[in-house]
Amino acid sequence: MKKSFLAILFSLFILVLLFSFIDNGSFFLITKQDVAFKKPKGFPKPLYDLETNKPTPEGFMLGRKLFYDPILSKDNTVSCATCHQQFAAFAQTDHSFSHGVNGLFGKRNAPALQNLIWRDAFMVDGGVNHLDLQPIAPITNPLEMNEDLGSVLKKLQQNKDYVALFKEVYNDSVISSNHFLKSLSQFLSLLISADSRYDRYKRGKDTLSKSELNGLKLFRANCASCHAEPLFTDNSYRSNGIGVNPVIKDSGRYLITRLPDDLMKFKVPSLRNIEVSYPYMHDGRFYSLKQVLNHYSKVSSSKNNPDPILKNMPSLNEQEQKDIISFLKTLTDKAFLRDKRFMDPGSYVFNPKPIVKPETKTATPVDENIITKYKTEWESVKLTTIDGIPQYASYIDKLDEIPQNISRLIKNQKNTALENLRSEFLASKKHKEAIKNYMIFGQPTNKSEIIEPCKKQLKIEVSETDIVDSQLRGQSKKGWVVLVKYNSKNKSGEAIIKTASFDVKYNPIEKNFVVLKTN
Amino acid sequence: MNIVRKIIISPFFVVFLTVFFSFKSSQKAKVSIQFKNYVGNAILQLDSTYKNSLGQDFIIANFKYYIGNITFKKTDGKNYTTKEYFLINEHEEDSKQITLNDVPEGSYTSIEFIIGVDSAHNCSGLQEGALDPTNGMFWAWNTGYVFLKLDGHAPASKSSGNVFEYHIGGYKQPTNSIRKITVSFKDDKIVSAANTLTLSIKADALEVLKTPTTIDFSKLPSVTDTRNAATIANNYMDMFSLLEK
Repeated sequence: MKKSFLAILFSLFILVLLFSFIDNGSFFLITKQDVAFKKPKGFPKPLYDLETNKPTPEGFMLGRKLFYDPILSKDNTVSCATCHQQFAAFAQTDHSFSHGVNGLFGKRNAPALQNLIWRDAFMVDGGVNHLDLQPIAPITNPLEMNEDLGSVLKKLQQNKDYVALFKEVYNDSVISSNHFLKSLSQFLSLLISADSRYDRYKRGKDTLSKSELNGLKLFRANCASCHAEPLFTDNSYRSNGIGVNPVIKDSGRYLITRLPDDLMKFKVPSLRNIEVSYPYMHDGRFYSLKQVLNHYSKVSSSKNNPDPILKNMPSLNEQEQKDIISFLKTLTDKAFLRDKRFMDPGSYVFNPKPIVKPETKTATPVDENIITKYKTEWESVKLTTIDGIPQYASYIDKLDEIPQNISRLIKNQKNTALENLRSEFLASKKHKEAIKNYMIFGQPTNKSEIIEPCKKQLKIEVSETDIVDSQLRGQSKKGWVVLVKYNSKNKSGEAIIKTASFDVKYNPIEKNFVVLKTN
Repeated sequence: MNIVRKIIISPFFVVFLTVFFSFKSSQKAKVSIQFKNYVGNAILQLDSTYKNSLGQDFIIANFKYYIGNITFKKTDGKNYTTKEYFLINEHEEDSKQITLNDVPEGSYTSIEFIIGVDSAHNCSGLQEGALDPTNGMFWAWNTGYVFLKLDGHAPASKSSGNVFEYHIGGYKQPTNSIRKITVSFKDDKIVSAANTLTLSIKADALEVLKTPTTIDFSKLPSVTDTRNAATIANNYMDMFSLLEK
């Protein structure tokens, strides 16, 4: 009895949560509270002066839009987020090197972007000395975004959305390098990770397991002199004895200072969210923490000139390594990795439209004909289907066009009736349903986009030749339903055809289809 | 009435007047400085062929440099310094003529300036105007400004397209390429509001390539980071001189 009550309560909670973020896209809107800087307990004073570029909701949203927009690259294909993904603490999962324009590879592993306002320099060689200047490096690197800063500004200036947004934030419709880079900094400066289990343990709000605690002890004894708490870096440059990568031949800090002493020294990276930001090292050569621990266990005998501090590094046994790894995993900050403020605002549903400031408007009388016209138009928009696939994207586009047209019409004149009509449309069940369905079902271009992930899942158990049929059966409350038929045998050994059923859900953040459940 | 009289005869008022008029007396005046780019004794022409001191032919395609911290010096030590930066670009006629609006009137013995951008402006994030990073004089991968660029073609250069490129920067030791330049006046120059002073300064691009180190296009066709930058900076230290009428 008690259990079922809890289950109902929980489902209600989820339902409320789901609808609260579907509503008008407010999920991605940023408030003043969202951009207020609160120094995490125990953290030092930031090195970046937030007073000179204090984040505002509009500035932050503009910076976020720029961060997720491939317009910053030469051929408009690569955005900052291409190589800095939120679920990987803004590093790139599973990529030693990231892809730039024209399928080129960069020469360094994309670092995690977190707690940047406490960094004295950027890039693994520390070549960039200010957060505001950092974005110029990937934008102009020929292997990354391969674009010219002036040319980015020109492209933004030609885009009326951006001109309006910059005007809104800086009261200047000429987009300068200063305003462009400051907006990016407003987004980047708030990427703060300080709510991991480790942090909560420090604040007395969580406990660690025996293995994690032992790991912490070992970590403090052997690792913390470079990976100093609470930022888990001392911001220094050191050689960790992994030796030069024979292909990219990156000599690290030496490239900046040209001091022979700095050969093969790299900036000590923070270990926060290390679990999700693999692969590791400047060239992403290690794919697991086990490989990393294994390296440090043997580093004292490394012939690759390790930092003197590593000469005393003991050889750690398997249990000790395991404990350190379990401790390192307590540095994963799930709240940061899923923080809605940092998510891709999307290309159109959640596009933060420039807020039109109220101007002196003259009231105009209500024209009943116009209202009837819009109402008929609104009613006539119907969801169409191509090849069995509902066209949600164009459906929402058509629906959104009508309130947008009304906005344009009433921009400079007051018209309460039209304003009410616009609000009525946006709050209508039809509009909410359209967005909700798009969030759940996405917009596949063809059936195979949904069916293929199911077949792939089935292939783990069943050989491809045994699959005889696959079909998109339709939709359930949770998502798409796919049936796949395959040859099998019953208990007495006779050949029969079995059917596997799949629930497929659309992931709006990664814009792909995920198999939820197999029946 | 009484109060007004009291104010007028009060010692504070006298001090105020003295201070007020002493400020008033050091009037600010305009000074115009014209940079004239040369190659040896000839005015620089972007399409002309010149010879370096090894007899190697070369053509200049691009010549740009930063001038900053301009100081007007007086014998009594009451110097005037402007923190403004100027980017002199051979391709932009307007950039070669700079105007300083607030030089105190007086008689000056020399001017000093740096060729480059001082460490503070290299370390403090975003800059605007002449120092805007869109001006093509900024290193993104190793934060800092390029102080001087001299690009062109020389048949002796073995790099692709026979180009040579000297992009000189670096504000930190041991690769600090900021150089302070002094241009002395034979006779004192008078700055006055009534008569705008115009100074013509010769900048000899040939000096980038010689004294103390003669640059051989076949051996060093390119300097684009802090390596060898100081060598070139030591060369161009003496490229400025006053053109007296």
